[in-house]
Amino acid sequence: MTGATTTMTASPRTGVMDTTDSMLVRRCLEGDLGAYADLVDRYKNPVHRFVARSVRNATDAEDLTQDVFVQAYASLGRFRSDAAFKTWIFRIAHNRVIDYSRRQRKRRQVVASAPSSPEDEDLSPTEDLPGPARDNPITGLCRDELAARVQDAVAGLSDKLRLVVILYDFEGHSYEEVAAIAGCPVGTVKSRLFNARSELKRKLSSYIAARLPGETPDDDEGRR
Amino acid sequence: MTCERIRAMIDDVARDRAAEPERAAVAEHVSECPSCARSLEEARALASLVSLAGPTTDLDDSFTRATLSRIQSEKVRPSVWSRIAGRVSVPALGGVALAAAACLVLVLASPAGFRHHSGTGSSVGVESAPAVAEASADEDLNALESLDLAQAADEETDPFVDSAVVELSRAGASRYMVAGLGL
Repeated sequence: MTGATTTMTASPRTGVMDTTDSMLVRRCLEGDLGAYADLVDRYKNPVHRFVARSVRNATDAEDLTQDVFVQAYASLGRFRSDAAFKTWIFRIAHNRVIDYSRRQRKRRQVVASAPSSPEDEDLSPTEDLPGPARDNPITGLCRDELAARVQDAVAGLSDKLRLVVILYDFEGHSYEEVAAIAGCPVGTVKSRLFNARSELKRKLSSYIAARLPGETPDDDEGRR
Repeated sequence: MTCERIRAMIDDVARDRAAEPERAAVAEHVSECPSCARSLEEARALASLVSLAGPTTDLDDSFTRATLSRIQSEKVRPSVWSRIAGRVSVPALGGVALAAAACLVLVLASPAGFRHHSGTGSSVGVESAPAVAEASADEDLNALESLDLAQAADEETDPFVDSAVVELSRAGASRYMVAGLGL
């Protein structure tokens, strides 16, 4: 795990150079809300990407990301300065995503047991996602749809597998950082990554086959 | 190097996240092993698919403003409790909670044993306790209150548990009751 002093950049609001996360946290605890604005600016995009890849609903992702930062502020006194703020905030985000997934599963169970309504039929997981403009009717469409399939495959992984694959493969965290966020040993992270990639390879096999040198897809699923 | 060890490295090599010795070992192995060469190609294909999924839209300044405004409007503050909880060990908190619960039980279980001293309106004493037991409890209390916290730390005693014992003694608990609570 990296130390608390890994992030050391200029603070746009406070104008202070060399502001570490732990310094900002200390100032937040002294009542400086501007310091917390700097922390939000530092981590809002990585946290939002992580949440968006996990929940696959743009509106919910932004709301959840805000919940993460509000909850983190309320719990700031619990942050231990010998840990990395990045790791800590991702742990909170991970827990929020798990809560959200549980609520969604319960909601789906209720919906499945109730008579269907026209509104429910529009709940495609990819409907609400922002994506590149589909200006090009051929390449744009294919790329968007392919990206959506990959994101659906990732979102369909179990909580534990999705966490490691998003943090390591998408966000570029180290094994040690992922282990700290997931709360498990590095060896467990590696085995979960292996399982996650195996599942993704299985789910995306036709798309992978189309990308292998000298291979042609044996069905047209990859082009749909 | 065996295929098993090479396959453990292949994913990091496919994502350009492997160290040079690992890259070299994989390159050397796949030049002679068609099966691992195919695994490497599959890993590269998956990595390129994953990169297609790309970053989502970045959040702008309005997100930060909205978050801070919510914090202010909901009057969210780093709670004092969370500050304490972050610095105190769970067993110590458990000891304090247990002691508080025990005090409450003692007070509720023996209502006849307590009386208000007339005139003060606030002090509470043990009316029916024998004088000898009271003196003994006072001695225990003095001994416990004289505990030096640094010394307690050296002896691996818990100051929170000690303070709980003091509170229990104040409430009239005998040493047997304190021992029975595991303190």
